[in-house]
Amino acid sequence: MKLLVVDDSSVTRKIIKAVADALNMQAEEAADGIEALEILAERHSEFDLVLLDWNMPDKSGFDVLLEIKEDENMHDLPVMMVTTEGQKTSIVAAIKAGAANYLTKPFTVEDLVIKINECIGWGGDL
Amino acid sequence: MKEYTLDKIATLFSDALVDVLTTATGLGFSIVSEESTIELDDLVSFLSLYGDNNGMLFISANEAVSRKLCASMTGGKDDEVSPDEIDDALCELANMTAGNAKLRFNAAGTLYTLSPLFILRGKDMSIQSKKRVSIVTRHLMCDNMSIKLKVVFY
Ligand SMILES: [Mg+2]
Repeated sequence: MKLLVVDDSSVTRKIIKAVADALNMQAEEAADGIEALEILAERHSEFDLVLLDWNMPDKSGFDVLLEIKEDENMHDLPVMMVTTEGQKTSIVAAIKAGAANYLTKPFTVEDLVIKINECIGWGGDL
Repeated sequence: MKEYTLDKIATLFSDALVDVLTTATGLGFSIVSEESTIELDDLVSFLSLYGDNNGMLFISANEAVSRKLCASMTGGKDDEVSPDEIDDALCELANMTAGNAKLRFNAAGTLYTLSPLFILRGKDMSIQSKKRVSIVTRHLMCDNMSIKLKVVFY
C-alpha cells in the first residue's frame, strides 16, 4: 500500500508519514500541487491513495483534484482532502469533484487512520 | 464589524487556537491575560483574512516554546526538530486556527478567504498601522509555555 502525501507543510507531511509507517504503508511526499502532478504523471499506478492539502502555494489542492479526476488514466485513483478548509461548501465541492474522503485539520492519529481505512477498504489498525 | 464586538472576535479566535492546540499538540493551553500591551515573542506566524471584514491573525511564541509545539505535533523529541520545521509548525498552527475560526464565523454567516502564511523572526516586534484598526490580544499559557494571539480587524 502506498500513499502520496501532498502538503506544503513539512510538519503535516511528517505527521502523516509517521502514521503511514506505523500502518506499514509506504508514503511519498510532495511539497506542492505541481510536484504532485509531476509525480503522478510518471508513476500514478504506484499509488493507492493521494492525501491532498487544499491551501498550497502556486496550485491549490482543489485544482490538483480536478486535474486528477479529469485525467482518464488517473481518475480512479482515490484522493482524500486533508485541509483546514472545514466548511460544508468546500466539503461538498470536493466530494462533487470526485474526492473519496475529507479530513479537516487538525486531526488526531485515530481520525487519520479511520479516514484512510474508509478510502481504501483496508481493515488495518495501529 | 457589524455583528461582532471585538471581545467576541477575540474569544472566537482564542477558542479556535485552544481547540487547535489541544488536537494538534495534546497540550492544554488556557487564557491568562487579555492585556493589549502584551508584546509579541521572537517568532510570529501570520496571515490575512479577506471577506465580509478584513483582518490579520498573528500567533507568537519564543523559540523554545515553538520547538516544543513542533515536537508535540510530530510526536518527536524537542532536539529532533529543525529550525525550518519550527517555522512550519507555527505557520500550520496559524493556518489551522484561521481555518477553525473561519468555520465559527461561517456558522454565523460571515465569510472569509485566507491568505498565504508568513513567518517573522525578530526581537521586540510590534504591530503598527496608520489605518484605524482594532487589535485584540490574548495571552495563553500551558505550564510555563506562553503563546500570544493578536487579531487585527479593520
Ligand atoms: Mg497548506
